Amino acid sequence: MVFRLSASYAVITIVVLSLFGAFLFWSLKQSLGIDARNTVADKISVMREILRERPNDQEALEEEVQWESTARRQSVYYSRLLRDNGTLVIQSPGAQDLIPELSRCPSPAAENRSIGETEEVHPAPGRTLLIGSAWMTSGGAEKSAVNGPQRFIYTVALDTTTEQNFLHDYRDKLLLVLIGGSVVSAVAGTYVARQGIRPIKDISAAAHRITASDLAERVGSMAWPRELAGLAAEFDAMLQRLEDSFQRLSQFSADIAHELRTPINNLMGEAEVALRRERSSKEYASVIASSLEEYHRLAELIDSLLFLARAENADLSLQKSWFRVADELAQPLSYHELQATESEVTLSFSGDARLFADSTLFRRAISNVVSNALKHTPSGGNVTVEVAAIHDAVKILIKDDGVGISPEHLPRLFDRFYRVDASRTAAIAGTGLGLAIVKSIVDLHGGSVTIESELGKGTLVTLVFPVLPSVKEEEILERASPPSPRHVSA
Amino acid sequence: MDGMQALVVEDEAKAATFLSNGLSENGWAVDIANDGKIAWGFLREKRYDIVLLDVLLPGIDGWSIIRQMRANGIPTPVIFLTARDSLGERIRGLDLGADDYLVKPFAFSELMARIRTVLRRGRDTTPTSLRIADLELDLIRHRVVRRNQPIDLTPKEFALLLLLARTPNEVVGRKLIAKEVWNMETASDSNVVDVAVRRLRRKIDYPFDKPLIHSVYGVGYVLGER
Repeated sequence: MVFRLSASYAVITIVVLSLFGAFLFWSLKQSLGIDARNTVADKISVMREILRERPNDQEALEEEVQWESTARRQSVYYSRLLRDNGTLVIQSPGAQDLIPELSRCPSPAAENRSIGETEEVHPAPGRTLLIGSAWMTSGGAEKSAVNGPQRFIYTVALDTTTEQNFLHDYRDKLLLVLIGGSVVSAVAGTYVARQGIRPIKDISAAAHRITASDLAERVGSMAWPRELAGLAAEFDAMLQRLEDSFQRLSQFSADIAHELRTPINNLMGEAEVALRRERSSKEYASVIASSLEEYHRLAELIDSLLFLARAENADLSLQKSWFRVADELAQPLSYHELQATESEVTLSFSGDARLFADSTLFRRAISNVVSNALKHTPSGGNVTVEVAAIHDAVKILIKDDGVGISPEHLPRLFDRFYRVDASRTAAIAGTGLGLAIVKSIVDLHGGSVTIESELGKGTLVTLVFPVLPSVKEEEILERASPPSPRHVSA
Repeated sequence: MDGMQALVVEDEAKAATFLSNGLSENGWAVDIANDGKIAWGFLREKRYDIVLLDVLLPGIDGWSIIRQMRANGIPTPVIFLTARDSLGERIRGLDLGADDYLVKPFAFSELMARIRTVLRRGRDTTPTSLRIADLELDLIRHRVVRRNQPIDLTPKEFALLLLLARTPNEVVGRKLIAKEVWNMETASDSNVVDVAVRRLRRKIDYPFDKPLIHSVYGVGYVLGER
């Protein structure tokens, strides 16, 4: 990327400098050329003037051709005046070496034109002359009828060596500027690109430093350019999330290991003790039955863990359908009813609503909460399940007047393996995943679950399952009667 | 189930042994194959009434065995036993022609129930009444009579009794009961089943001298004469 950026800078600089240079050079050359042509045209018109007004004024002619020309310090010129038959009338000193033969000169301009073609010649290396010629007629017609008006060819060679040298010098300087500028811009561009990209390198270096065991690295504290501050912040947020979930994951694995220890310990102990001496078959049966209980607990733990893992990976496809909540809850509630009457708790149900959800998961969620409520309600208590349809959701309130939960536990109740009573030996058994599963089911449906409780007074769990608008529309479409068939007349 | 032939294809020795023992005790003759090749050898030689097939096997895997069986026109019902239970795998197994799919760990009583269901399929004999000793169940009117004495049961109690009566003298696990009677996929409080059975006993057994419902410690319940 550094190379691409700096190469682009350099190319752009070279192109722009070249274009500017070429334009400057071209325009300077143009204006110098115009100046030179004008000078040549001036000389031609002066000679025409002399020939027309004073054809016999030899002195004026000499001054113009022999003295004026080469005596000047600037715009030195050489000139040659020929008759139309090619014989020489007069020429500047040195003109014979500098002005080529008539045939090799640009064709002379007609009488009515101030200047015709011009041509640059190089009589010697480093010397440049601009040559122009013109036809002209002497004014002798009026004064000497014998000689009559005569035609001449006047050729002017303007020495433009200085201008040419100036131009060449200018061109060289431009080239120097171009090359120098390109080099400087390439170097500077590389530097700028490197500077610009360095934060990205820093971020990737930070990313490189991150390993699963050390997610504490952050990049947000460094001074970033504005464009990268957002990226750095996002990066940090991502790291935070990763760190959190890693932490949760490792905590989770530790919890799982711990959870497995208890039943395995029971199994090992029971089996070992049973095998220490001969026992009656009844005793063996009791040991095996007790281990079976532990196995069931383990199997259930595995099921729950798998369920949570799938819910988290969104690997669980919801089998959604429309159902009446009361219909769907009839069976699990009849199940819990038995549990309730056994512990002399009144379980009551009221309300109804239509819901679009995965019915199996829905039943599981409600059942988990109801089961929890029953476990924590002493005999004589009440557990109520109330269903209410609110605006665009269905609310299920599960309320008990049992022992309640002290406030410090409330925020962590939905965490996996979180138990209010720290010891497993408590009379209330369970995997500690029941409410975590409830939460994941509700989350899968885009709903929410909240818990309110007061120690000694009871607990209220509220589950909200949304009824999605798009689904409502679908239902309306489903219900709509199909259009009656139209009769097409032939 | 006497005289029935089962093939257990399972590379894990302990699992193969307990499956074989459990089936033998239920009157099955059992062959064990530890890998796919041996299994295929057995399948070509003998006719079996059921094949219990582990998916992950050395040699030829379970998927290939069932494909080969169906390709060779062996119609024996197959129940897949596997530790993998993603929906995709289930569908794949059933698509290949498996008759059922049981995820490890499973209760043995559940396996027996599945085997019976698979075998019942196809025969299509839905009885209208069941008789176990002096207990009679009318499956159409949902009436129960013992020693000509009608017994009044709630729908759930009837469903529970029917579940036990369908497989007389065989143990039905608590988990299966919770699932079949209350549609509870995961029942953490299996004592609810105990409560329900106790209530059923009060009506079915207590008024009579000979109990028909027996509990099998740690496993579940069985209906029959002992």
